[in-house]
Amino acid sequence: MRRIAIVFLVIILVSPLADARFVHYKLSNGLNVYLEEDHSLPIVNVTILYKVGCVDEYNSITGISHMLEHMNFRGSKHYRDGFIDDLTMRYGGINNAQTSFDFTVYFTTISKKALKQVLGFYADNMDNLMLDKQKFLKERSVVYQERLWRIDNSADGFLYFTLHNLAYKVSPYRWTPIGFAYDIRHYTIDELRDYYEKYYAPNDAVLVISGDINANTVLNLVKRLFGSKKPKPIVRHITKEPTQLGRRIAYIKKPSEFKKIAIAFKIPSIKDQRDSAVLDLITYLLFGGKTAIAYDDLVRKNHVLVDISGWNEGRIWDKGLYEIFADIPKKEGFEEARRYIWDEIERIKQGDFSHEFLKVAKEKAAMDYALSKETLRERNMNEAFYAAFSLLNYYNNYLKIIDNITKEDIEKVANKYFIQEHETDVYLLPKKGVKPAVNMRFKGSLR
Amino acid sequence: MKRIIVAAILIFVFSLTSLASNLVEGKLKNGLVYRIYKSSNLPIISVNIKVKAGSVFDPKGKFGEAYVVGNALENCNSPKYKADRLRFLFDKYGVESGVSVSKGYITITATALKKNIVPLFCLLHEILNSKFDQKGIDYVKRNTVNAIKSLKNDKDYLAIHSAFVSLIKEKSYNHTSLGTVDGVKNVTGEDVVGFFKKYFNTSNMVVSISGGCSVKNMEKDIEFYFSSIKRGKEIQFSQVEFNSGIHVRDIVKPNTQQSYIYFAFPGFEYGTREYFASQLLAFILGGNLNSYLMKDIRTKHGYAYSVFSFVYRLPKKSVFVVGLQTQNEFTLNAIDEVLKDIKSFDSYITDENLKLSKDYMEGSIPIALQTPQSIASALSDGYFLGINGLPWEFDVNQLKKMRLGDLKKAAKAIFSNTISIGIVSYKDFTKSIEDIVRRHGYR
Repeated sequence: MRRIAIVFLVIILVSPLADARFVHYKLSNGLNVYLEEDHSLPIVNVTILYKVGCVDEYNSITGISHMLEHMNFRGSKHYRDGFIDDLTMRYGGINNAQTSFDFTVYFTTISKKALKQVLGFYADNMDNLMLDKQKFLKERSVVYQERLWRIDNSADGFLYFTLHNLAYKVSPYRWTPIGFAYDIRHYTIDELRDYYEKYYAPNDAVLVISGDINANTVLNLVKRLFGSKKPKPIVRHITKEPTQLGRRIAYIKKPSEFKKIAIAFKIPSIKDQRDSAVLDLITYLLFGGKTAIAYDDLVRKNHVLVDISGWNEGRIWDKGLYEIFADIPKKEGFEEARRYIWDEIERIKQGDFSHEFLKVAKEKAAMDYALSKETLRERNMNEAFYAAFSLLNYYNNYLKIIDNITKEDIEKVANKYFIQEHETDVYLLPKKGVKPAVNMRFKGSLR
Repeated sequence: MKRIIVAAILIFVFSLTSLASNLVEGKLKNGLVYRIYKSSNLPIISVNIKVKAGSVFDPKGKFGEAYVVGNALENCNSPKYKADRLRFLFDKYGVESGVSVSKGYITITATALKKNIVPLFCLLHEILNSKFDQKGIDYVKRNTVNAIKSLKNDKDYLAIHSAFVSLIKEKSYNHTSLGTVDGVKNVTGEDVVGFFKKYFNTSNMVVSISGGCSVKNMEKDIEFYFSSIKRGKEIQFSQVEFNSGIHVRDIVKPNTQQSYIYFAFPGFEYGTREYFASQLLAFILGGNLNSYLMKDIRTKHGYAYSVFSFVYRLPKKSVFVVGLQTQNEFTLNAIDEVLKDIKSFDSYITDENLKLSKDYMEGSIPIALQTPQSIASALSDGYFLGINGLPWEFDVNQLKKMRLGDLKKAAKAIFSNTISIGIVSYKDFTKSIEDIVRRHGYR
């Protein structure tokens, strides 16, 4: 009977670990590994993040981090083209990747039975990618299709891309991860190979594994698969964006039902943790939830805008952007729309909001934080990002930081960054149909 | 040894009991059905209220009425609070909520931290007793009209909508849930109240809850907050008929740099053997990055960033959809290649693919059920599909029964006679597309 009682006790003890935490290991080659046991479901997530993105590109190879991301699925020395997709198909689950301004990340959520193969695949991709030329040419065409779909053929996508082109003059943050269309069409396999050789290394990566795992067993597996990878010297020469000395304005045309406006202000790197958290709270105040001040005033009550949203896009290596996007009804002009948005910004700068609203904004932040921990994938993605850029302390204490922010902090930060000298505006005019010239030269697989 | 065996048996029984006991189903005295599933140790609770009151019930000349009703719930005064205050309270207690309107249903979802479960129920109770004031309705109508206008440049939407309009005979089924500009403008305050009274009754509704909750407490809360919902008549969905033959509808947008192409084919009723076979077909053809179409259209030819297929479930029957976007020059080649692919039954309906697709569906269940929101949603869906017990288990059991012959039969039925293509392109390709389609045997 005692034995049975012990067995039951063990079942209770190994049931889901509500407060599971990541444990950190660093391999001798510099690979940072984070493991978390969570036995609530028989699944695992593997996330590997490389600190390489737009920020490491330059003119003529813009978007090449993203191109390389695509090629990570096209075969390595020991794993055939499409291996991870086959594996996901066999076991159920999801795998994908994402390229950003500062990083490239790969993830798979799958049955725990497939963990070893997933890790083997990611380990081989670190230094054994095949980067076959014929496959590259086909994939380059796919990436060009993606560029058309996301940017060139989308009013919102093109607005976002142009905003970056204008807000930055010299920083590699002046293009978004997809890159310029011309560059996509002209990358060479040699450029891609050089880029891969330079940035894919254990000391430039963070590996996060969580789910129904035994941490010790998995750590041994990681050591076996990744331990022999050679570290590389990663030297970054990132051109710093000079201080903006005046407002920048651009008008663009794209087919759209409404006129559109995008406004951006330069903000500090996310490494300036305190101001970054304050900017998050400003987002919740102006644009978050059902009590968003700007939305309520301009869309719901006064009908001077069709829609408005905004957010804090902090970057790692240089200034980021605080971005605001709005759709404008026919009766309103661009300058009026901008003035309405500025009126809302002034409210924040002058502290024209109640303490109760600030409290509600903090509640919204707390809820979003809780929701961001619901799935293994989201948890691992956050862990990988904040660990990669030495921001884990910030992430783990985020709610405390948010809780300590006062109304005065918000006014101070708003007055510091929301200034006309650091403002960039892009106005999108709806374009009526004109037949485009068809480019017959590019067939997607020329070079 | 004997003791160990006894212990092992007890553990097994204990495990089974705890799994089965995760789902609690009940009915209040007013007839409202509820389903509770204790799912995780996260301090989050999610409530899903599904009402058979979708856009198929929009009256003629008032397409968009269901959408206005659904969205008015969160934007109008309630018995205790003005709309502004109500919205404030949602945010104050961190209740993330939303209303979605599909062809069949209006669904209200609300998620909050466990500590805010009482305010969550209070607020849901308030919006389910909405006063539907004119100011709130006007705001929703204005917003809906703007959303409809925005769709004029959503090329994916325009293409798939065109394909559906040509395929589905009934206007009640083939209009978008957002409605039409004129339809929404015609909706009055009385219409909103009338629609709500007609459909929001306990015979047309289910409440599902999931999360780290105490089932007993949840049952008490459900009884306290939802017992006042009135009984009413259960509404039935009307049947769907498909147009037969070839249908090509090309929307010309001279500035577009890509063609947006959607193929729609008549599908089957949920619960039939053919329906589950079509689910597996959709996965094999275009359900992931290594699917048959993806390998050919994207990987081999580089025609598209994404090509996909899925089964779109209507309240009755379903539509099998294949979609892609390709640059202008590839338009006709891509259409030709897709049609060639989907007709090559023996190439993709293989024992290996059948096994892989079944394994995928089964293996994906725990991944799809990581959040209380997804569990509550699945429970509500399952209720209206007539599934007793756990809907994800039911689906997998049905999928496991599928044989190669079932998939071939379903594929032949789907792809043989009728095809509807909706396309947005820079010039009119209708004639050329019709020629291609005929070459592939459609008449």
